[in-house]
Amino acid sequence: MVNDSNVVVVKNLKKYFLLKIPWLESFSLKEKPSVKAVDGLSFSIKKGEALGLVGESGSGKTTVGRSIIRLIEPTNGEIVINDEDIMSLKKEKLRKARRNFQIIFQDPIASLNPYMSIGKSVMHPLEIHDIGNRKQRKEMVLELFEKVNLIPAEGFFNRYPKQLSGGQRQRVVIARAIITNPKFIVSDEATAMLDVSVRSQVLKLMIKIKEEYNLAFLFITHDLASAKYICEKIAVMYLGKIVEIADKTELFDHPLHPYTRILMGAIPIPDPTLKREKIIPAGEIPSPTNMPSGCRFRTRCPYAKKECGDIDMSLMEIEKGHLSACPFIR
Amino acid sequence: MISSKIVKNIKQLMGDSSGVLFIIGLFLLIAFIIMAIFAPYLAPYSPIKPSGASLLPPQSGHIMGTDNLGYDVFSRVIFGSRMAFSIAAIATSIAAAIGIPLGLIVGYIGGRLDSFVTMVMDSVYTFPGLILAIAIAAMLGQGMINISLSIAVVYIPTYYRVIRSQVATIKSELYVEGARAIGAKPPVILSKYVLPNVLPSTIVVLSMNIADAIMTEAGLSFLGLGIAPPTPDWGYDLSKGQQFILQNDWWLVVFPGLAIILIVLGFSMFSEGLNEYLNPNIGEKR
Repeated sequence: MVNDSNVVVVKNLKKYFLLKIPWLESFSLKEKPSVKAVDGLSFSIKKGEALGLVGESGSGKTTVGRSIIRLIEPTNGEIVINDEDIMSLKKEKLRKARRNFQIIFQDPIASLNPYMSIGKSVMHPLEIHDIGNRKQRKEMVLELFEKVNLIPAEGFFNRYPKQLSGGQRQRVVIARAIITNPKFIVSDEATAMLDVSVRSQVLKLMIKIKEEYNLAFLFITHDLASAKYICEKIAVMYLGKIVEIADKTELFDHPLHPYTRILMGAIPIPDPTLKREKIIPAGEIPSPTNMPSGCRFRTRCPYAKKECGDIDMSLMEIEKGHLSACPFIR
Repeated sequence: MISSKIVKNIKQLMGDSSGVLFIIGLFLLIAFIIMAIFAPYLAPYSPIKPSGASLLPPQSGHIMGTDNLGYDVFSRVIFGSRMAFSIAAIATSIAAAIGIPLGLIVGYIGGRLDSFVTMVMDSVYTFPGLILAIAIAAMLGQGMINISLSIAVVYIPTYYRVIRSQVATIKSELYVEGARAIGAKPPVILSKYVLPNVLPSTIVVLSMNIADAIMTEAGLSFLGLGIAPPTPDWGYDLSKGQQFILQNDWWLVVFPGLAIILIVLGFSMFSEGLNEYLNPNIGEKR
């Protein structure tokens, strides 16, 4: 159920990482050299909607996920989650606001404290935010364990992370993320490290939870196929910029940006007779310290021409609800 | 059944050399602990009253002989273990109580504070331990607490360094970031997420430090900066005994010296074995 009210609004989000340079040199340089990991991102997510953020390694997806919830401080930008201006929150207020937004990390092994039983791990957010009393907290955890299919819940409560499989651990992490009843969840490649059979189970669980809690979901992945499975809307990211954003079906039916087309070509289709246009990108993703001028994709783009050095990569609405950063292909 | 299991475990431990060392160390320690606890029952005489003629060589009745005041050396060696243990325990607890929290907090906060405190700790660390302890003990004077304090100062940097370096790696672990994401305060993150993960390496440092502390204590007492006589203390007895060594009264130095060697050896072997057990990475390398 997609509702019209925006839960998450991000405007012009920027995260630059300053590079370390010798301090003597820093006097002679006007602008300090930095890696523009995220460079002016804007999007919004509605209640009950999942936005997929797709891009290859090094495109800045993970940085987006972490800066939105201020696990790392964004350099600039506006973030509103649940009608709360996240950027202006002071330390203590931000800490309290964290019950409204959560993150699921890529590595389920590393995201659980090895010396804390999984029951306690999931219960800890409740203790931090002072929700319920002791007995109620435990009941909430057990209830949630059953919901994420860790059965028998009572038996799992006192186990430690090393006693669980990868899929089970990721379910624990999901349970911990939703126990405070948040409005928004970032999933940072949450299924990338699971093997294929477990991955679909965890994806199904995420869909179930998204529907049940009516969550806004930011699904960060390098895998367009999983994004297609779970998301309503997909944004394609390249070197810190969104190059195309559209509804899922629209994007898959009419990909506009050359980069999106290349990514689509990489999805395997289980039909050996099918012939399709295959574009192979030239070279590797450029270093973010030394970005090409104009369109950042032009060094690898099969359609690149001279004018590409002058465009500014701003998103244009080509069709209703379908935005692309390439002015030449429509 | 149980006995066969124990035999199997021991055989497994005996399989490699460190396992043997661990068991020898453990037995030595148990022996010394029993000695310290039951000293009044094990010692044939009072350690601070003359019990016979002076400078008697080892014989029945005085199996380790007597010293120049007629004190029974065997009784003094047994009671000496109490002093060794209590000073080592107090000193290492003080060092751990300061070094561990300091390492945790500074390692977690990092930045300039980290560079500053690490610099201070490193400069303390560069002093030879015994010399630093002598300097502090000379300032503070004799007595059990003063000696413990001066030994503790020497070992604070050891704890600080071990903990800080561990915290520096653990704080970038995903579960610590996850704890921040659920809104945990820094003290909670430190006590529930960081501390349990650095504790295993602390235990090893602790048992190694106790051995060192016993040596340092004996050294201080040997130099006359330790415990006030006539309280039985190995280091003091050693220094007193060496005055008579030219007269061939060997028993005055051999027995207290042997006690120091065995207890330090016991702790070293024990901590070495413990390290292998608690730190699986070392085991793989061999």
